[in-house]
Amino acid sequence: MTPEELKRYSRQIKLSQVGEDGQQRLLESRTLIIGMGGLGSPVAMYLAAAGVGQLAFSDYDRVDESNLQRQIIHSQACIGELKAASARETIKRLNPACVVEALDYELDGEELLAQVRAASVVIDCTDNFPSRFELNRASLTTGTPLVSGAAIRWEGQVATFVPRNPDSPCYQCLYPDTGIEAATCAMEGVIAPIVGVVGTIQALEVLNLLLTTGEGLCGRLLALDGIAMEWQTINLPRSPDCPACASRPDYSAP
Amino acid sequence: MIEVTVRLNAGLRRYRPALGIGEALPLHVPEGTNLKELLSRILQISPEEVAFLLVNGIKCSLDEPLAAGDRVALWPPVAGG
Repeated sequence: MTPEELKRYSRQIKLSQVGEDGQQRLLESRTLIIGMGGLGSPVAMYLAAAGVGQLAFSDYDRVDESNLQRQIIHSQACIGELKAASARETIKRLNPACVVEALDYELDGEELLAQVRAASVVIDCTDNFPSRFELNRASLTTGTPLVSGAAIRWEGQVATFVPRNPDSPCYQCLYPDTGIEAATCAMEGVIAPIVGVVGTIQALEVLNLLLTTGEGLCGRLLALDGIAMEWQTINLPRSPDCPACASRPDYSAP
Repeated sequence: MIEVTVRLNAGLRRYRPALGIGEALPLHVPEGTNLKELLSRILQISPEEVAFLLVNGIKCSLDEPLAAGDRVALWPPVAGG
């Protein structure tokens, strides 16, 4: 690490769970964030600030004025711009050393798999079930851990899925694919900081995974009720008849 | 009849708006009632509106029968971002 890096990350390096080795690991890590909206904003900003070396963002949407109330990576001057590009500019100002790949088109199929495979962790910040199921399948195919967050109204949920851990459930063990459509923030409304709380927990969880500081949320879901100001931890067993993960690839195979 | 209590969390509070925040709903239900019947017949909440059903803090399936004193907690699905 350079003297500048040692200074910049000194408060983190001071932590026994991080140290210079852990910070070096963060600097060498690549994460993939799907969705650069309310959840993706704090995830990207905290990971860049914490010194994660490479961030890939996927979003093909453009910044709308109604996004600015909660999508804090975008600003007034960026209305109409591609979210991936707007987010990249904010990250460049925050931490110029962070290498950003802005994917401003629909990421699916083989290219999604390649991006998920290239990442140490993939972070689900999308706003609909079909994208969430597709990302879960990509995580299961590649073995890349998935940190999933969701928020609406005054509530949110966070969970982690580690395909290589045979006890870990997958997203579809929690949410069976029944074809129901998710309520959107446009339909139901969303209070600004709820996406910040959930996204920030996701970022913290990503650092836990990259630094291997503990089991994190693997096998558990945190549910937040922002009006009652209560968190509930829900233990999530793997579903033996889950159509997505009942049989998983042999990740140890070359 | 047995008595159980139900906590409607987050967005599910709209089904009992008169309940206070954090207040549990006491209910008398016939012995042998399962969670599916509790939802559809007594609370009149569609199972699609509920992602997580907990009984005494443990995630349960819809066919789980209730016992006297059970504390049921319901959480809605969330997919926004």
